Amino acid sequence: MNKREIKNNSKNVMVVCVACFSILILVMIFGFIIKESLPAISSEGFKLFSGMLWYPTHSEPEYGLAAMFIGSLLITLLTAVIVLPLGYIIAFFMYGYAMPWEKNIIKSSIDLLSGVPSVIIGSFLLVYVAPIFFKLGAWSRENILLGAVGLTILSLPYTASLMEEAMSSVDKSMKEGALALGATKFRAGFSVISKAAMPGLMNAVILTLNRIIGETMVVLMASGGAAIIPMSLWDPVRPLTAAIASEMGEVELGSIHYSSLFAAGLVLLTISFILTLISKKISRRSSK
Amino acid sequence: MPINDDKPSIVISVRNFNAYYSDKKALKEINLDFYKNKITAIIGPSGCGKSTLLRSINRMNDEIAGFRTEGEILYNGKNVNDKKLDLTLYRKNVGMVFQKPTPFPMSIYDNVSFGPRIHGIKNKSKIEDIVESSLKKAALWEEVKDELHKSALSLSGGQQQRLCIARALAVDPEVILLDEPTSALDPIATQKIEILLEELSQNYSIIIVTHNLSQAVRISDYMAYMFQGDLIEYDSTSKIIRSPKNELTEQYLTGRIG
Repeated sequence: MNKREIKNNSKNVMVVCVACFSILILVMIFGFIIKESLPAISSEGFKLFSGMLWYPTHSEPEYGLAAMFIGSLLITLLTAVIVLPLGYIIAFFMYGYAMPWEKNIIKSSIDLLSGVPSVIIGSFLLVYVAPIFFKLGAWSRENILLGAVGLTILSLPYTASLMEEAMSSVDKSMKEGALALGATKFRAGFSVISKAAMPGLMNAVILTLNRIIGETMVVLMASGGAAIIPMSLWDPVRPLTAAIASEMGEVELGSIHYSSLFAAGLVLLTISFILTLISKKISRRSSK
Repeated sequence: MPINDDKPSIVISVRNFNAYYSDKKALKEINLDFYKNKITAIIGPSGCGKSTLLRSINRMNDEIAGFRTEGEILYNGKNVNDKKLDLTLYRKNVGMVFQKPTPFPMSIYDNVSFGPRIHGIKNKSKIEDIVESSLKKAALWEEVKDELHKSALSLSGGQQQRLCIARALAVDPEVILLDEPTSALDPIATQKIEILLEELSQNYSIIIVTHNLSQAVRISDYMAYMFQGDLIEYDSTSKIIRSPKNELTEQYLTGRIG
């Protein structure tokens, strides 16, 4: 082997190593979480996932994740109901109506907003928004609606820019084709461009859901701590992420409590994994 | 430029028309008349302004930042750049087909019925009639009549372009603008569209931009030759081919300007 070959080969080896390393980390995270959650799964069985009661520190402890899982789903759903239409409207306006300078303003404020640390959004909610909700009839200062508002603020920039990107990536000729038939900007954007951008829009939806369900700080601060299934917008809720974040620091290492927190992590990881797969599938199909 | 033939009636006239993209002047003092139920070809090398002129006719450049115009384009005597113009109605009368076939991501039927529906036709059987007759006029009916509800994206490129023509016909226009409609198609599909355009010219006024000179010669009644934003020569196609008056036109026709 001459010098150049050695140089080339060593570069190849390095690239392969780095690539393998990232795969290794993923496998290790999965392996580690499964390993740590196994004691809880084997001692509690299916009850771990179906049980509604989460009393890990009682004298007769209960380790049911279902209420928190449903809490996670409900707060995600509630946020989605607010943030998806709002994001679409913003994207629609930016795509079809905004003048370049308006678009710039919206884009930069969105970028700034997406840079705000979630802990600041949480504090803002507790200090300024919670009292308003209190006047409106909330019985708990922290509740599912407050959490959903926080998640909305947090994910709106992301949703709007993803959706705008999806619409902008539709060939300009599609828009012109519709306008040339006499369609208004609204009609062209709504019935033609949005349809053509559907894979991208769906992808934005999935990625947004993924982001909401995994978000921790805002829900920890703003949505209250009760591991119950919320029945009204004013009820507190304890999503899986909040439970892990607040309890992991104090739990006895190796206990069933500790292990069931990892099981909660496993649930989250699985959801996120599935959503990512769906998103990949959508973008792969649309690029064909 | 006046033409001393048997003088067909004028449908669109361009008067002292200038167009700018920001500071760049794309069209310089254009004056010409497009005639009713004739095919007029606008030819010239790339960047000569032929597409800009065509797109100015149905205001497709409105969306482009920095684009502005001076002078007038008159459609049946009305200035199309008038702020009070009902753009929706105007574009219904002056339709456009683009270089790249642009079927909407919906069924063949929905593509053709899109126009009539946005212009307020609700009666289902009437829409069905329009879809059928438009597809027939665009010579596509026989090929798609059994699969009207299939996605338009499943059609071949030539079929897609004829679908776009059918879609433009469905709103019952008077003028059809075509911007290099065959440049993305193979020779057989191109030939089908050329035959179609000749048939359509009996009932519609057609303005076609093409950089395919032989195509312009084959199908057009009138020819406008443009070069670097100027209208160099405009006359009946046979006259231009036989005896171009301007040296630039002759150079283009003989292939010395590409």
